[in-house]
Amino acid sequence: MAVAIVLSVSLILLLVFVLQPKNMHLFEILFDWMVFIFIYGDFFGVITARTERLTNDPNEVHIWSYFCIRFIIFPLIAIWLLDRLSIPHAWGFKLAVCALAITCLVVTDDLFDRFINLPRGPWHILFLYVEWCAILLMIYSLNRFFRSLSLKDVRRH
Amino acid sequence: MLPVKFDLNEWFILIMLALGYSIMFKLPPRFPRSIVILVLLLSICIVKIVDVVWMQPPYDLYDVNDTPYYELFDFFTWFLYPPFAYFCVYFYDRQQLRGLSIGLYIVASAIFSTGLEGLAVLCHVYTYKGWKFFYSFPVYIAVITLTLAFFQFVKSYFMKPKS
Repeated sequence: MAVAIVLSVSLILLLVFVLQPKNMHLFEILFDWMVFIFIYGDFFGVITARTERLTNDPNEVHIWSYFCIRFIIFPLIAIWLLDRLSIPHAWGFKLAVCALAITCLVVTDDLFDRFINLPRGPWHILFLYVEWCAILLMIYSLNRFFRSLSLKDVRRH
Repeated sequence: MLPVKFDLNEWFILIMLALGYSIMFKLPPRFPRSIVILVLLLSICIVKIVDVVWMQPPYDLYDVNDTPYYELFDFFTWFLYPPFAYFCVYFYDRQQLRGLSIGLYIVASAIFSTGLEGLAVLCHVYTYKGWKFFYSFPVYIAVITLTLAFFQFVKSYFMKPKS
């Protein structure tokens, strides 16, 4: 049941994302997606010394839900945010979009942690906010770098 | 975070990293840097996606390095794959392969990759639990095909004449 819900939500989000007009180029989206996969989870696990893998609940439903959340839902929200930020808007609007996206990510992350019974300390929510801000900041900086690099490459070739 | 014991697997990773990246940077550049970055990232992503599903319970098919937990050398292990993906697309592009020779090239690359994995297993970089050595060959065939298809797609965009 849980995996069916998560999979349906993932597919709906994916469909909405594919169908809506985007400001970013396909390669930028692919780049952000892959950078997200690289940064989130293991990489952050290593740098924040949260070294436990998903070993506390060996359940097939959990691993496939985790798969959908980690490789579809989270990257889609992050890329949607970057896409919105790449359109010229007032600072207030951009801040509101950031706050909304980060809150969505934190809530989804926390719900999943509860679902798989991961140990949650008293500072869990705060840690998630800091983690997501850091991840999004890293992806945003790398996205700027890749955008300028690919524009140069396209002009050169 | 640090390895339990600095032994053969850590030396294997360090030597392969030094060897792989030194050859990669010595080769004369053939593609725009954006293509190289996308291909290198793809190889890391495939490894991470596969690891998430197969390395954790309920499947738990293999372990990387000394413990089932994250350690510093797990991080270095992810960087073993990008040079190989680069060589794969580099020689594919240099030889201008067409038709059946692409299939033979993929099979030869998969044999080479499986051999390297066998060496890594001997050096205890990977510890098989439910995995079998011969399962790796079809996986490499699929991954190399995907990498070459992705490269061809990205390259066709960059190299297409501007209107």
